[in-house]
Amino acid sequence: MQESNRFSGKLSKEQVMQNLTDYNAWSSVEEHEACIQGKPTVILTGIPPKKLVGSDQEKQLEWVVPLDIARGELDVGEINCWFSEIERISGHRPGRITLGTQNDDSTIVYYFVHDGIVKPQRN
Amino acid sequence: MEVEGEETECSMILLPLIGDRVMIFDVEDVKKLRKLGILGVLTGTLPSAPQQNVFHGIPLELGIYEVIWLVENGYGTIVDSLKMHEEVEKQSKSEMSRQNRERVIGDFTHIPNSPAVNSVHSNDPVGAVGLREFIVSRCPTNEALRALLTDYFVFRSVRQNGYQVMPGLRFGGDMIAYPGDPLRYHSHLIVRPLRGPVNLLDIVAGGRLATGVKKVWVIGGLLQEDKTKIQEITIEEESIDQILESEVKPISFSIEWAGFG
Amino acid sequence: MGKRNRIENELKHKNPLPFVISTDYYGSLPELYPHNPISWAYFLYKYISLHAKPVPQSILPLPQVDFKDGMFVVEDEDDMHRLFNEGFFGKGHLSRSEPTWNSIQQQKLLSSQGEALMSIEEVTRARREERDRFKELRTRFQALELKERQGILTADDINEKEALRLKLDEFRSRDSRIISGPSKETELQGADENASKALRTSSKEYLQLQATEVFFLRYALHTVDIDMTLLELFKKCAGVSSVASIEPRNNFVLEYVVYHHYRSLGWCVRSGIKFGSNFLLYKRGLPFSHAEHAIYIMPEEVSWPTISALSRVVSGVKKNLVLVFVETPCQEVLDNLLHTLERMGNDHYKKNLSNIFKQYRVNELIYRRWIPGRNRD
Repeated sequence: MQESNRFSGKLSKEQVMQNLTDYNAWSSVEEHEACIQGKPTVILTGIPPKKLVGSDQEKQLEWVVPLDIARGELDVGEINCWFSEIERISGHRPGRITLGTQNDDSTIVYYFVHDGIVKPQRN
Repeated sequence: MEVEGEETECSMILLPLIGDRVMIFDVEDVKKLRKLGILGVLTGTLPSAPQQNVFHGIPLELGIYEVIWLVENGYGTIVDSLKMHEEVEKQSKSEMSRQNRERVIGDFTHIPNSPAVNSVHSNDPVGAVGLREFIVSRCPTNEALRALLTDYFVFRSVRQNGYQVMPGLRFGGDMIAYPGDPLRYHSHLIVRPLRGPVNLLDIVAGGRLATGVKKVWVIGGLLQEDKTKIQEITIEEESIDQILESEVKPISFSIEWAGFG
Repeated sequence: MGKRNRIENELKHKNPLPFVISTDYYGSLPELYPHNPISWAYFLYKYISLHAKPVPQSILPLPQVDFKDGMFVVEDEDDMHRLFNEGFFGKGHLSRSEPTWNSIQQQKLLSSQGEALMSIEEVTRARREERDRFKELRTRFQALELKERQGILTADDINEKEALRLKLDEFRSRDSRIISGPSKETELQGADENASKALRTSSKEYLQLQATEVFFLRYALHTVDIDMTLLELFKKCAGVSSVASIEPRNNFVLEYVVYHHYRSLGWCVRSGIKFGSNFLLYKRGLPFSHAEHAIYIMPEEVSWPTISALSRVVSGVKKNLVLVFVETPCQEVLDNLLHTLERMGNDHYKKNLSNIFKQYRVNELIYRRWIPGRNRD
C-alpha cells in the first residue's frame, strides 16, 4: 500500500461534526456509513440554523462530506460517487452537497458542490 | 464530419490556417461567428486608435476548441491560407491580366481579403484541411491528444448548456462562460476541464475566487461506464472522427464557497 | 484597535516565542553605574550567579502535546494560552484562531442578562445575517422597481416601496457593520442556548497544532513535551512508517523546511488554507497586523490557471503571493542521511535531522498580476 507522503492523521469526522454543532450551531448532526470507490467512509447530515441559500427550504437537511486536505487530490469520479451514495442512502440524488475540507490546524472550510452546471447564486 | 444539408453549405465560413493559428480577416465572417456565439479573440490594433488597448480589431484568432466545434457542426471549413492565396493569386493575376489591368498599381497586386468566398466553391475550397489532420498537427503526442479532446468535450458541454465561452486564464480557469454575448452579460462560470484529479488546495482557491466575483467554479471530466472512475480516453489517430461523433458527455460539478464555517 | 487593547496585546504577547528568560524567572540584573565600582562588583556577582543557575526552560514543566486521533493537541488551559500567546502557535478547534471558546462559554453562563462580550466569530455571524436581511429587502425593492417601470404599481406597492427605501437607507448608513445594540438580542439568546447545551454535553476546546508547528516547537526550540522520540515524531509528521520511504519531495519535509525558514527570519507563520496557499506570514502576530504574504510551495508540476486563480484570491485580500521553490537533495544523498539518522541513537537525532534539512534550499519570488493598461508606473 502506498503511503500518503504527508502528515495525516485519520480524518476526524468527530471534529467536523463538532464544528457543525458547536461552532456553526447546526442541529441533528448525524453520520451515515458510505462506500466510496470501494473504501468505507462517512457522510454527514445536519440541519443548519438558518437557510444557507435564499432558495433553500426552511430546516433543509444538508449532506456534508468531510474530507482531509492531507489526502491531496480529488477527481470527478469520486464526487459523482458521493452523489450516488447519497442517492442510495436517502432515495434521491441531491442537487448539492457540502464539502467540509479539514486542515491539520483544525480549520474547516466548507464549499458547495452542485450537481452539474449551475448559475451562481446572487450575492 | 461531413456537412449535410444545403442551408449550411452556402453560409460555410472559411477558417484560414496561418502557421498554426486560425485567423479570420473578413469582418462579415467575424459577425457570423459572433452570431453563432463563437467569440475568438481580436488580436489586431484598430487603425484609428493604435495606441489604446481596450478595443481591438481584426484579425480574430480562434481557439482550437472553437475551430473543432465549427467544423464538427458544419459551420466552417479549415483551409491552408498559404495554398489558398497562392491559388487565388494565380487566378486573379490571370484574370487581371485580361480585364483589370487598372487594379495593378505599380508592382503591387491587389488581393482582396477574402477572395475565396467568391472565387472558390465554399464546399470544397482550395487547400482544405481535414479536421483530423488539423487536430493531429496540434498534438505531437497521444497524451496531448487525449488532453485536447477531454478539454474539448468540456467546452462542448458548456456550450450545449447555452453558454458562450472565452479563454479564462486571467480569471484562473481555462475558460470563462457567459450566459449570452459577453458585451451584454457578466460571466457566470470559471471552467476547469480535468484530465485527472484536482488538488484540494485548487478547489479552495477556485471556489473562493469564483464566489468573490459572483461566479461558480466548474470542474468537468470524463467518466467510465460505471460512473465511478475517471475515464482515460484511448485514442488512435484514426479514431478521432469516431470519438468526436460519439456522444461523449463529460460530468460537471459547480463549486462555490458555502458562506459559513 | 484601541489604545487599551494595544497595551493589553503588547503585554499578552510580550514573548515572541514560548521561552522563559532567565532574567524574567530569577529577577533582572541590577542597574549598572559606570562611575561606581561597587555597582560593578554587584552586577558581576549577580551576573555570574544567574549563569550558575539552571536555564528555567530545563527545570520548568514544558507544555504537553498529545497525539490523539491523528491530531496534535494541547489540552491544558495554561499551556494552550502560553503556546498561542507566545508566538501564535496552534488554533483553538472551536475558535477562529485564539482558543477563546471555553472562557466565552463560561462568561455566557455566568452573565445573567446575556450581555456577554461578542466574540469575533459572533460578530462575523451577526454581520452575515444582517447582510442577508439587507439582500432580502433589496430583492423585494428591486422587484417593486421593476413593477414601477412596467407601470403596474398599486398604491400599496408604493407605500411598501417607500418603507423599504427607508429601511435600506438605514442599513446602508450603518455600513452593514454590527454595533452592539438591541438588534442582536435574539441571536444572543440562541447562542446562549447553544452555550448551555454545549456545556451540558461538556464540549471543551483544545489547541490543535499543525505537524510543522509541533515539529518546530519540539525539534528546533525544544519548548514542548511530547510522548515520543524525535525520530518517531518525524515519521509521524512525514506520514511514513519507516524513514526509508521518505522521498526528497515529501510534503511534510518541504513544508517544514519552508516553515522553519520563515520562523527563523522572525515571521509569524500560520496556515494559509483559507486562501488556497500553504502559509500566511504575519509581521509580528495576529492582533497586530494582517498577514502580508501568502506562501505557496511550488509543486513539481503546476498549471498557469492554478497560479492565476491563487494570485487573484490572494491579491483580493491584499496580500502578496510568494511562490516558493524548494531545491531538494537527490534520493541517494537523502537515503544516506536517513540511514544515518536511523542508525545513530537518540542522542544524535537532532544533529542528523539538521544534516537532512541542510540539504534543502528555499528560493522565493513574488508573483503579481500586471495589467499594462492600468499599471503604467
